Amino acid sequence: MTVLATLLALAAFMVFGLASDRHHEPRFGKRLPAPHTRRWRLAAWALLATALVCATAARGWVFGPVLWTGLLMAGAATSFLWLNLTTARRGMQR
Amino acid sequence: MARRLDAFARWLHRGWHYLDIDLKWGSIVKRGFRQSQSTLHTWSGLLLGWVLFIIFVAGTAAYWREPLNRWMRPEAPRVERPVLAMKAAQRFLARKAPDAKTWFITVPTVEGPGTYVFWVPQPDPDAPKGRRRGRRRDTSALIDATGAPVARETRGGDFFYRFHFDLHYMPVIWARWLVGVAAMMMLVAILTGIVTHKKIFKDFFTLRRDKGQRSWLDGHNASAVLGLPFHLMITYTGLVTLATMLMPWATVANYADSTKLFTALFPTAGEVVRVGRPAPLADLEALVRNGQQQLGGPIGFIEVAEPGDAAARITMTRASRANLSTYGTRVAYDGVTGRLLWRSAPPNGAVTTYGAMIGLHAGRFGDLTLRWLYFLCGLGGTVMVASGLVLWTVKRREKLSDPLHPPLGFRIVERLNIAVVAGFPFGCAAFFLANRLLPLATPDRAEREITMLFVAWGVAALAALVLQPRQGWVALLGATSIGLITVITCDLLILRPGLGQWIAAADWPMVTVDAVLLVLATGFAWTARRVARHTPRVRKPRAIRTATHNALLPETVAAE
Repeated sequence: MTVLATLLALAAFMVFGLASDRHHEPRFGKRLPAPHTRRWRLAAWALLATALVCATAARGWVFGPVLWTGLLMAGAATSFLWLNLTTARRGMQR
Repeated sequence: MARRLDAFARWLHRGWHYLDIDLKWGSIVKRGFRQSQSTLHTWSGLLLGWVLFIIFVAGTAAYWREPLNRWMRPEAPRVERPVLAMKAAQRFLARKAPDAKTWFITVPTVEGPGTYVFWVPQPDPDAPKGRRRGRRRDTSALIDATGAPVARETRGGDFFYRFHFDLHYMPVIWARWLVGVAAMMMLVAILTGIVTHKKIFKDFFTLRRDKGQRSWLDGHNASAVLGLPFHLMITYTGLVTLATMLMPWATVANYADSTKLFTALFPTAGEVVRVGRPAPLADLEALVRNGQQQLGGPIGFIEVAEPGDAAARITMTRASRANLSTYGTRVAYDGVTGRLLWRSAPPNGAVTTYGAMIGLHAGRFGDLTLRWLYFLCGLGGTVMVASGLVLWTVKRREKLSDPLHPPLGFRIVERLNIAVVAGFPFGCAAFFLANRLLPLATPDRAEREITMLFVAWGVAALAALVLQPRQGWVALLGATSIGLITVITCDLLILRPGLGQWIAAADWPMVTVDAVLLVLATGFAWTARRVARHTPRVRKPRAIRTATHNALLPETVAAE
């Protein structure tokens, strides 16, 4: 359950990041239309909510939310680094 | 609303104005709320930023307090079965202080080096009145799993834990006030930072690399916003741990004397009167098992009053790690028959709230996953403070009218940044190295290790003062990296049992410490290399830059 929560939190922030123009365009070659952006963001929020359910299932009501908050930060930091460190290289080639 | 906020900002700023910091009052009012928050952010972050940096480094290390305690005493055999280690410690106490008034036993865990014990001797009726206590070392010991005192005298991870809020070489009360004020500044800096860098949430995933000031700003923002829940929590709960000192009025109003507050936090079953009839102590192992059932969690702390006497009493406290609230409930047993005598009342709401905040701050409840998350967040906070300090100089350097002769204030900040941000880690490396290299028989060995930290830090500060800034950064970051590598080399080649044996015995906690040091050493070396290779971009003449400054930003975005 902890592993699942970790993966969900990571996936959520990946989706958040890829929904932004800055990271979507270089990867998919085109801009994401606004309604789609909203759908991507909603999906990310749903992933976060599921991660909270998993974290609570793993650690209970007291420690589950603490774990969830920690995993959010870890997921955000990991996707932040991945998104930026891989695009910059592509950006330089262009 | 806006007017009220503006009045608030003005009120906040009046304080700064009196400090005669480079603020122009009229311009602040004109520049509006966000700009004023920016100024407040800059100065609240800078003035105690250096203190905050060392608090962050020490606090982050303190998340591994027990593993570090063990790693810095590598001779102590691994605690495989805590109950056996505890009984070994009991035998030590029975030999060393059979007629003590009280024994205190910290129940060992598999993480730590062994059992911490201390004891209070029987009061001597002939001794002159007043507080004449012997040296703490004479009434305390660390007992390893075999029952022998641990040979390597060191403060270990406890040093970082105490240093985090007590600092060193100064009265504890001053240190705590300083730390408290620093934490308050941190809270101000975080809240004003959110207002100042309004785009942090919009630019959540943005890092513009190799863009000078903008990259520093993005890095500072990222380290702040990615760990924002942690930063807010840690600063606020940090203030709460010092709350009774910073804001004593509530406790003064409710508790006539401080002992009453103490009993509210740590309830006891009452005084034990010695009867003078010897009687053997009940079996601790069975009592601990019973206590765990009674309290619904592991036992952290055992207090044996009048051991060896018929009136003996054993009080057990639930471990801090058992729950979010750091204050555990207690049970007391008759020390001879093992009969259950007393149970502390469940803590009230205020104690639980207070304890939960301290628990959240210290993260003692955390298993390995949570501890790693806490540690990584701590590193993020350290990077946030450090990048903020450096950003102060980066921002101002671009605006210097004469870059070769910067004003005194700029130079002081620049040098202090090197002395603290690069110098303190260098001191820590020296501390670890002293732990490995000082002979075991050195008198006052534990204090010597700490002295080495401060000597090394002092040398680093001198170097920061004497060398050119860039050389200073490269030299100190490089030296820290080399120092950490030397520690790992010592573990591999000199120390027995050392790194090789730990790997062979699959003693991963010990190996992990060396692995983390290796990662840190690589990080310092990489940073040193980046600084050494950095070529400042050629600046356009200043007048043109300021005119086009705002117009430049969209360009840089579009250029990517």
